[in-house]
Amino acid sequence: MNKKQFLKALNRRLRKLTNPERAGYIDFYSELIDDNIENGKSEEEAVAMLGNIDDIAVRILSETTSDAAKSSLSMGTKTAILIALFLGSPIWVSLLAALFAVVVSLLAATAAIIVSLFAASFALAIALIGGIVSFAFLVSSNMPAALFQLGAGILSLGLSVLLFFATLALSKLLIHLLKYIFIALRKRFFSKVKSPAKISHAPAAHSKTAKRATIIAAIVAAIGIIIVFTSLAAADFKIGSIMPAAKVITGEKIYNPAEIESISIESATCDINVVPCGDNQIHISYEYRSSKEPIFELSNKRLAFETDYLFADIIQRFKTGFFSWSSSDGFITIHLPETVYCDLELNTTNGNITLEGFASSNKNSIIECDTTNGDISLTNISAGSIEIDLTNGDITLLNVSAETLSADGVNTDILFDKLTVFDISFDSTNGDIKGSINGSINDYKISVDTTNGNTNIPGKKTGKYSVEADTTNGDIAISFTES
Amino acid sequence: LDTQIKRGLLDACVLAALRSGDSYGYKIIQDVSPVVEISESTLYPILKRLEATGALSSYSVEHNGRLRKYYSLTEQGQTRINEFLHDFNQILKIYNYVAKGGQQ
Repeated sequence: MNKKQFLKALNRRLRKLTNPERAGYIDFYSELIDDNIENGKSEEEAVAMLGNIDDIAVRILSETTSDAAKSSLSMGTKTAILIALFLGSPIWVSLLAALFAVVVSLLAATAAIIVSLFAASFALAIALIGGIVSFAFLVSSNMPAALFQLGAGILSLGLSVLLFFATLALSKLLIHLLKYIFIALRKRFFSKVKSPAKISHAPAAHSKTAKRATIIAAIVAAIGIIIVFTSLAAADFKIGSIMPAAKVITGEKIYNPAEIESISIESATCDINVVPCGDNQIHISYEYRSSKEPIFELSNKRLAFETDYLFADIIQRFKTGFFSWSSSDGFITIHLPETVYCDLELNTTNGNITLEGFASSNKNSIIECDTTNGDISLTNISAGSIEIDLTNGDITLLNVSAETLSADGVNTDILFDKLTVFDISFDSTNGDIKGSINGSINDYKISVDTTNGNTNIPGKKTGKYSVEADTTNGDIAISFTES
Repeated sequence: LDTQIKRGLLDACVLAALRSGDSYGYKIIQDVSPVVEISESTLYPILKRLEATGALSSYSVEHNGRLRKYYSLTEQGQTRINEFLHDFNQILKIYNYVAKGGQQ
């Protein structure tokens, strides 16, 4: 074995050591061999004098400092030591938990950022289709509006591609950053892991194709902007002519009260009003934006009315343009005779519900009102049972009589006056419950409950009627008025 | 020989070899090996350890177109030798006591 071979072989056998340690040995042996040669030995002899290379390596490894010895521990041993540490010391448990939480939240946050940006980019790309469809719908009737839609669509596509590559670059950067952090963390626990400095940070510059695509996307976006500007110029910068209002659906239907025992109204955005009328007929009138007529269905004396925009709304949006910010709402009004034999189911999502001035001649009639984001108010109403349900909005009850009444809300003040009801249930989470009930307090069983608010009235366990009021973060104030 | 004692002896020998002047690996082995068996692979860790604890210092000198690393004894190294001699004086007393069968 010559010197070079020997040093190479030794180097390989000492790879468990750190670089400087290994280099030190190699230099040392190199010098020794040279000295042996200088003292009259041949290169082969000089190497042979040192002894068996495996023995040398074993001796070096067994002699090396504790640092190196530590590093030669297997991963399993390290894990075992760590586990022992955690089990032995409670503070380690919480530290590990904290570390784990940090790692998990870093990963989750990174994933969320990357996914949402890619989703946004994808959505922008899809918007091009909306623009093209709108263009097709509008091209024959309103050229500037059609151009505007097309331009906005092309601009979206350009932005989509730009966002895509920006997100790609950002995610690379984030992943590198995470790697860096994790290696730093690992280094704390396992001292001999590669230094983070060795990881190349700064993600590699965009590939040529990415660069080219970015430039093209920027050009596309610019073309989109030019088209949008041109369309605006063509319309003399009158936004109204580019974005015409949605088609308004309006109408009225009249029914004989004898034909109807219940009315159900279903709408996403309309206000629903119930008002009295003078001609002893039931009228349903409506006015709202949609491209489709509402659905009327009368069967078994039940009248169902539904505003229809699910698919129609999409089409309608294309007709007025995909890139249109006209929101639609409207109203549905039911005119009822002052005395009527009729149940009501009123459902809307973003509208108010208002009932005024009618009395049901049916002791068992039911009024149901549901909305998510709207107020509900009942004035001068008489019915068998009333159920009110909403999430964000207030409930106002004025001169309402019924056998049973339940009013549930979340972010809801419930206000009432002249209430003549035998079985009352109020429920809110973040609102007040306030008002007065017609009758004697002696007749009512009372149950009130507020967690963070005040109440003016104690509970009471006896009474033929009952009133129940629950809220978490509101006040309760109930009074009784004997007539 | 007990490894701990052997290590102490070897340290002392290497330090002693530098007492008469700076020296390098090959020569240290030549100087010490008549007294105590020392291999190249044991010498290097000793040199490193002594240097790390400040008993030695090192410098490189060009020799025949290559570098040769010289080691020189520091003041601390001299103190180490004195300590060794003192320690062994005591050990010697103990040795004598043990050898004489526990008689002063």
